[in-house]
Amino acid sequence: MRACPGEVVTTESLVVFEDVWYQYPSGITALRGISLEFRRGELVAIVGANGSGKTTLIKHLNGLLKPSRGRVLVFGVDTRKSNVARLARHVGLVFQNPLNQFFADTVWDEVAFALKNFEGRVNSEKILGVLRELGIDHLKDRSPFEASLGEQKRVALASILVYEPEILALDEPTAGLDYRSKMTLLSILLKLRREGRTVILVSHDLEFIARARIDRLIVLSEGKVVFDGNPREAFYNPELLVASCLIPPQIPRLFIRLGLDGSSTPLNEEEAYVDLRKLGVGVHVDRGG
Amino acid sequence: MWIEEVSRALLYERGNTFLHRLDPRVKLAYIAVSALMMFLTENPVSLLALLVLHVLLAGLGGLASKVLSLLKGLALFIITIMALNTVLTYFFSFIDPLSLALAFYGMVVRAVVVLAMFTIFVSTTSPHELTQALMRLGLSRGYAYSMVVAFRFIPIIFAEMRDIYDAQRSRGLELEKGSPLGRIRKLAPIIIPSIVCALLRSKDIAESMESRAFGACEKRTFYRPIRVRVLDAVFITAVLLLQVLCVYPDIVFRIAGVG
Repeated sequence: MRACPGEVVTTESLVVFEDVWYQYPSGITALRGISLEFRRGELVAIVGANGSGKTTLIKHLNGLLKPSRGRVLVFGVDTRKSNVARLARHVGLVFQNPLNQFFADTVWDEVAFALKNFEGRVNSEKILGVLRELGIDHLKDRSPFEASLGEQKRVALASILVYEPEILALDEPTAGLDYRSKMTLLSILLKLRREGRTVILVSHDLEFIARARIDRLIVLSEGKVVFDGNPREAFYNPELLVASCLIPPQIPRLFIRLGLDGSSTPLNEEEAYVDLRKLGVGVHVDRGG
Repeated sequence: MWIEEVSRALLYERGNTFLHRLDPRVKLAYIAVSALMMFLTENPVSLLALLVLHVLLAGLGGLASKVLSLLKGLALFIITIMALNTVLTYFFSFIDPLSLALAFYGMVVRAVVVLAMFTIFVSTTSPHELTQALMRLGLSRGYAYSMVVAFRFIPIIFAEMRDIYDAQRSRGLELEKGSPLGRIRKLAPIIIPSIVCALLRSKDIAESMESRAFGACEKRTFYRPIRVRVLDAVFITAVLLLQVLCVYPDIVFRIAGVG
């Protein structure tokens, strides 16, 4: 079995969930005894059906929600004894709908907002740096409402990245994005990971996750963690995924149907190509790519 | 948070209580009658009786917890307005403390009654019924639908505002800090996205309604027409009589030959 392409995943736990239960005021119990750790420098994906508790879980990372039972420690601090403003400095949350946060006249001001709140002043170099990195510097004087959805999602991401939180959690970052925007997002995430930041990806876009070379996969089902480990193991276990209302990505599904999963477990077409060549399948065609 | 309390209270939920079965026009009549009766009296005992009546009615429909959460959600707002009102009245009209206390009491009772009536109507009347009621009462289709859509989206707008608040708090917005003026300025990051989202939503609704032939026929009929039945007659008569009894007990007793 292939190792994950991780560089350095230290064992330092930044966030610890200890038997966390959460019940909404409406009476719905969204989390049922979650115990998890998020370590420095790992790229983790959290998957699960609609209503499995994914968003509720990440809202616990910066104290937007506090556990009804159990506790959440962020850098050793119990979230119940802290507040969102303090926790959000370390944990950046990027929400699904960018329109839920745009209010400024320009993209520049939008990105400067968190910086002003957390650092009390605007560092132009930082803002420009982030805008360039995400390829949206040409939008800086335009209104965030005029941008396309892909660009809006990047503006929302920039407005969090700019203050450099150690932990970054993204809720459904690929929803509504075209292929190219997804690949841009992926390269940004991998770069953050290389910088040693913890990235938590919440999604049910399993094809994207299979491409994302994540270190660890967490499967949620009805408020419980039903899997936490190597994504390869989960993606080659259709029973587990189907029981959680998910379906494995296409390449694992194909390899399972062909009965090849005993000898090779690729996650995406890149890996499948290499494995199939090793098995002597197909003729090498050089397409100049 | 207050937004959650309010949106939960105002959510329409399917049900089979007698309040659900009433004709929506009768429920509107109930609100009109009750509002009138409430302003016909200043007598503290009558007001208390009216309060008990409406709260009991909500309780019979299984809505007690909803009224309570609406009250809890709006408590701060109501108290602020009332305190301001009382203080201003005291300084500008020089009335004696007893009448002031009575006026304050009257305000509290009326506020609770209005909330109870509002909860009864909103959480037991489906948008479908409300549209019909408004159109049968002579409102044109365009206006009737605008009202119904506004009404229907109250809980959704509140839920969205909560998401917006969460997103801005995650970016370091602290509404609790700063001078009073500064705090008002800090509301911009909450209010602007709320308005933008509401406008975009209204555009989407208009487009999807038009694409489903809204307004194609001059006269429309309804799948489940609303009808005034015995239950409705009994309800409105009982509500009317009980309220008259609360407000004019002496007259009622004289007519009945008791007093």
